[in-house]
Amino acid sequence: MKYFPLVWAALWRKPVRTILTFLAAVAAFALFGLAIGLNATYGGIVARARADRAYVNPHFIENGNLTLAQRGRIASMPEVREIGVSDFFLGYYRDPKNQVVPWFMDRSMRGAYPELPLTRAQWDQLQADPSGVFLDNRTAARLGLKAGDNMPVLTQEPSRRDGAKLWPFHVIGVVENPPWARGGLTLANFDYLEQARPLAKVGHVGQFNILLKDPDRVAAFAHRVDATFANSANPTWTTSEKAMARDGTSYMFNIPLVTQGVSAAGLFMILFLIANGIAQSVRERVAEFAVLKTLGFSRWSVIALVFAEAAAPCLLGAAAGFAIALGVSSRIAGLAMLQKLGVAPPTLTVGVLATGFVFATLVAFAGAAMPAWRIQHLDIAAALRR
Amino acid sequence: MNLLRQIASVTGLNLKNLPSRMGSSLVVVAGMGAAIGVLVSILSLAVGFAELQRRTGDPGRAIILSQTADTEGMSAMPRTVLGDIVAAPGIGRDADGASLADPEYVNIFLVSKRTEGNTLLTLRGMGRKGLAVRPELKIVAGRMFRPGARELIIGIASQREFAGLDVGDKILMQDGQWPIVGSFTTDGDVLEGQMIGDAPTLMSAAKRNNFNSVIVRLAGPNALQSLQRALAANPRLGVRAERQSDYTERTSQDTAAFFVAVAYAVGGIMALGALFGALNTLYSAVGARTQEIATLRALGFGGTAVAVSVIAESVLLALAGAVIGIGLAWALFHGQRYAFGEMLFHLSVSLRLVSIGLGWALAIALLGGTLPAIRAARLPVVDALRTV
Repeated sequence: MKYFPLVWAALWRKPVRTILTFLAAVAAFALFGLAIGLNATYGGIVARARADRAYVNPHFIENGNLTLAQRGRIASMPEVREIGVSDFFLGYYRDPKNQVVPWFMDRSMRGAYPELPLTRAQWDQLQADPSGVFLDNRTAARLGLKAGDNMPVLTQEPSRRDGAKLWPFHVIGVVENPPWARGGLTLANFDYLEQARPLAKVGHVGQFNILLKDPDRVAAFAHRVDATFANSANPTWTTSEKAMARDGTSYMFNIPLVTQGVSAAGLFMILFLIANGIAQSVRERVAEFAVLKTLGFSRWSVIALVFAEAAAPCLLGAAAGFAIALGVSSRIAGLAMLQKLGVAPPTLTVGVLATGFVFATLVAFAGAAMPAWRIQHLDIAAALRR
Repeated sequence: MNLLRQIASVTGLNLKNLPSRMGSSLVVVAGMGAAIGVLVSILSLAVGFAELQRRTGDPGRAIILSQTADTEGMSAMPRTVLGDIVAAPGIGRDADGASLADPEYVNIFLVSKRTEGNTLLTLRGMGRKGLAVRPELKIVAGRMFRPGARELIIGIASQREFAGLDVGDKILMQDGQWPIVGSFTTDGDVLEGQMIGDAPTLMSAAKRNNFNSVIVRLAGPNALQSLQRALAANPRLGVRAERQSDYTERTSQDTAAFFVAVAYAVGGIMALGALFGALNTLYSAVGARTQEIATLRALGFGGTAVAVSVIAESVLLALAGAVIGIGLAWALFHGQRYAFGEMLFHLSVSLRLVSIGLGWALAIALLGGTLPAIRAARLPVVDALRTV
């Protein structure tokens, strides 16, 4: 710390150089923060996905069906701990732009999906009130609805037994949006769907949500379910929540590859800048370093000085860059373009920031290595003569 | 002395001295290479995606969907309306006078990637006019499916990308296993990522009554308008026609715009970094050349010539970096296969991208060169010479 004035003076010897280096580092680390932050977002989605949950879907996504009869067969399989039934449809509230996807859940979803943000009492309310829904605060804000409001939802095609398209829901309550449901939640009652939809569809189910006793058995379980129904009228496709999260996050980009590539390119760019800046600075001040050595500065303190001079704009730039990245990522979350495509914004976790500062330090080290070596092998007499 | 000759000789002198400033010159080359390389690499994705959509959107074809449906998957057309649609004006005719209209059915199901993970694949049911509407569809291995038979053919792009979809493999359908009897190419359009079978047979297996779309070959350049008028005049049908090129553009524009936005956002931040690097290098170059510049000025060379020499250095270094960056992007990514769901295409570093990359480099070089150039031109000659 006592050498701080020395480093400070060295930095402001060429203010233009220092400021430009700093600004380049800000750009590089803003990009680094956004890229690695995006990686962290998607890594988090996969990490949060439960290893012990499986989903049974229809093998044919559109117009495929599962049946309540299949539920019984699956429930009796030895791996199953809890099995819940759910279904959904696409509709809209008032304007086709206000899309609503009610997620109809039967009572056993309580056990199969314990992370749903409903308390015991709220579950009871939902089960007791067929046309009631719980919205999360994000959906409620998007639709401009609050507890007690009516929420008529229209579907594109006739969806009710009488040929109507209108579902007269009402909002029982608004719950906190859980981070795993960025698209929002509209939690509805499966019994209502079953009672109101066309007779031909009664007994049909969109999805089984299953908690397993043993997460290691998920592959065997998936295989068993799909094999059981392979030659039935309703073949299934069973997957683990982990695998689904992995597929979902790698759909558009190979996120790790792209984000790491981009951040590496950014670091590469400033590595040259820092290395060149510090090399020039040392070259210009050879005599000064010779004086320091003459005064009795140890070789390590001189090296530390060189390194500190290289690291200062780099670390400060990283800090400012991360601040910008934080600001940007909190602002882009609401962009219509990202929401439409289901793209999540970067999250600058503590881990991301720590990684960033480690890389900033490494870049400074790498940049300062050559000049430091040069100083160490300095011929003091020759340098002082200049 | 004439200005152009001044500029030429000062610039020549400057560039000759460039090797002595190798280290700092590398900053510009590396920074620009990284920025332009990243920009061009990400844009190559957008270009490949757009090219796939362009190949698919044959403007000589139209797609007919339900009035309320945005996409083929959301559209449903009962058999009762097909007769009127097929007979509508504006649709091309074959040699026998039959309407070139093909009612089609789509469903999606899951396939495994050859690498890891699953994705959704479109299974398309084609009718008897399917091939006439799509003359570009050619069987490359095996044979075509037979009408009425429980058989499928697979697009070559899907076959490469996904597991268990080779000719001879069997696919689990609602009524048992169907063999893949052939593979096809459609000259690199979206269909190459799909699987095709006989529409009526697929629909009876799926217990479906409604088709999704009718694909038609238009009779001529103005045929779409008469087709649209005829369909609109018959509200019972509840359908509308859209040029296929407009349909693909409409359904892919959000994704295409996103790819481009990512490329320019990332490229823009990198470019900003590269700009600061270039400014830094050029200021220090002007600093290192103080005496040279002062001497030149004292000899009678004008400020403009000196300024131009600085900008020329900036442009030269930036273009060198951009060429390296574009070259790397080309070597690493050009022609690489890319799978975005069932959208299978090749990344493409097109000539247009090369010019965008060089254009950006030029713009950054001019931006980064101007301030140092002004400083060089304004250098106080006497003070500078005193430091000699």
